[in-house]
Amino acid sequence: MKKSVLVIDAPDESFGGEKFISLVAPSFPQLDFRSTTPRDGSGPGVAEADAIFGFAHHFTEGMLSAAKSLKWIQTFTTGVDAVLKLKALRRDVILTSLRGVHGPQMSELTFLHMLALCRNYPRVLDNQRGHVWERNAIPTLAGKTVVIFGTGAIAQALAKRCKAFDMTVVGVSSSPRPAPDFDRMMARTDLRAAAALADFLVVLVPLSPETQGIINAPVLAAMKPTAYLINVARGGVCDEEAIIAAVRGKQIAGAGLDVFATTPLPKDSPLWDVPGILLTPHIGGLSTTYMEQSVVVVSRNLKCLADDRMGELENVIPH
Amino acid sequence: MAIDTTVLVVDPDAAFFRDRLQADFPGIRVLTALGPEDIGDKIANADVLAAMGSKMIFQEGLLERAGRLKWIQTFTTGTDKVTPLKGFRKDMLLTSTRGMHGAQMAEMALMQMLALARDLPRMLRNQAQSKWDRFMQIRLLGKTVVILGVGTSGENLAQRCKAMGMTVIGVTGTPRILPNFDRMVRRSELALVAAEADFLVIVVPYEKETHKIVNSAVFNVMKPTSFVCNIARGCVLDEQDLLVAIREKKIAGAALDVFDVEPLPADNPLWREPNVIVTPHHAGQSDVYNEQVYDIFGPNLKCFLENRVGDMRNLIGH
Repeated sequence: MKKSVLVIDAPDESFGGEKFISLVAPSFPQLDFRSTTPRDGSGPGVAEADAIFGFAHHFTEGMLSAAKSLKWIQTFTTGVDAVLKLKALRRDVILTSLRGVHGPQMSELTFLHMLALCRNYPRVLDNQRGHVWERNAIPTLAGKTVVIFGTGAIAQALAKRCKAFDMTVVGVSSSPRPAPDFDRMMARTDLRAAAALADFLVVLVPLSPETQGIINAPVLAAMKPTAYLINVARGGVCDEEAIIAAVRGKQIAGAGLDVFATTPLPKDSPLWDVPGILLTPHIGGLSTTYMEQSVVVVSRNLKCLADDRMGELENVIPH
Repeated sequence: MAIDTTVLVVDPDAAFFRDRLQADFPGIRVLTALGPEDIGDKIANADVLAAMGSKMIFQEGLLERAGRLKWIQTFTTGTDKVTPLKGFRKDMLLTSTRGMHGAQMAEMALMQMLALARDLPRMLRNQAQSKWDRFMQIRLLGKTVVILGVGTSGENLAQRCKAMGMTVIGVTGTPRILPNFDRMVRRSELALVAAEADFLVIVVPYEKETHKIVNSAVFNVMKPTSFVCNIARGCVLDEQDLLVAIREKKIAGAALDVFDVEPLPADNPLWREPNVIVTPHHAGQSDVYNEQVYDIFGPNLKCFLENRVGDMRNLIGH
């Protein structure tokens, strides 16, 4: 019997299941592909699936409970926290992420936030609407210090770009070791000392019990009043109340947020309306060419499934 | 010579320069004026005039009153407001601060490129309305940027674009091999190479040869998904042709920091054209502007006082 791969349809991420299958299936005639729309496990093909592919936050308890034959989960995201928290995730199911695809788009979004915040783009565009010619001094990124919390593949892609902008790059890691494009590496236990150095503190650390709420009031208090916080990782890493208080109280100059404790951000969240806070709707991973990029990485793993070399899967997340 | 030298600094931050000059060159006399209305007869005593190279400061009649003037240091890359003045004599030295703006010019262009590609105006409108609206994001990675003008700004921009994983094509009057440019073509080939551009960024100085060289002939060959950014001078681009190209969807949009007429008149249609981002000629500005100016002005003054005119940076031939 052919091994079977189930793909969770994700029109909300512009990532259609059938489209994805049309790109990979011709290379793997020995595998059986099927797309599923329901995310609660009620659709056909779940019980016999050897592998399920999908965005981490689209996996559910129902889906994993129904997947009796499941051996492997491949996410289309770098972060897998939404899968790891599912109780129905069996120990023997191999979990792989899409590490290594998001570096460019996450870095580019971070630059958009850094530039738009320090140039006060909300005001610039308000002025355009009002036909107001108002020139203000604009800080340069050149010569400034960016502290990147997290030193994984995305952080490395960002560090490389920051160096090309003549910035000083400091990394904060739970296991500090020298890496290219980082001028300095500090331990996570020194997060507050690192935050004090930052003109921009960029959060790129995965969400885990250790990082839950780690960007809190004491970290924000350590930052310079001219500094900006940028979170493009996971909302849960930051204490949103503390960010609002720090920006309103002018402890920091502003914040750029792409991720939130609750997504979509509720209509009545106070975050929408704080001057100095720039919001983007969790677009860090989005790219017009995302599916094509994903196919390249996922195909290597599909080859392992087809050849029965499951021990050689890339980007395995231990759990 | 130093004892007899008088430097007149005309600038809202003239005090900054006075303090630096007096610390570094104790022998000289420093006069300051906050603006043109404040110059009065100080200009008559000045051996050196240091100021922004703007029309506001370099008005007709100013240099006629500058009988002792030997050297003008502008705080700008452009010196095109100084050289046409009738009072600008052959024997006067003229230097610019060309090179000081590289980082901020390049950062401005990247800001425009990211804002256009990702439709930042739409995101800010959404935020103002508490609206969660995710839409596809165009990346810079893998795209092609055509940089018109390969001076300091162009080189700084190329360095950053390469780091973003872009293909970089330079368009210049003097093609030469430079780091971070994948290709270099002649200015006469602009209307050919524009067809390859996802982004066309204008950083070329304004001169007779560059007058409105970005016009309908260029827009007509560009991709309908491509964007134009102008941070050089308004007159390098034909604004009427640009409006037509955007309205006819020949290109996807533009970000303009410079205009034919500045400040941009309130009734100019560019203000409210969808897919046009208007900024108030602030590309060259920075929070360390005075320091960047002084990094060139200070050493130049040292050369001037030591009669090493040939060593001065950015000497403009005229």
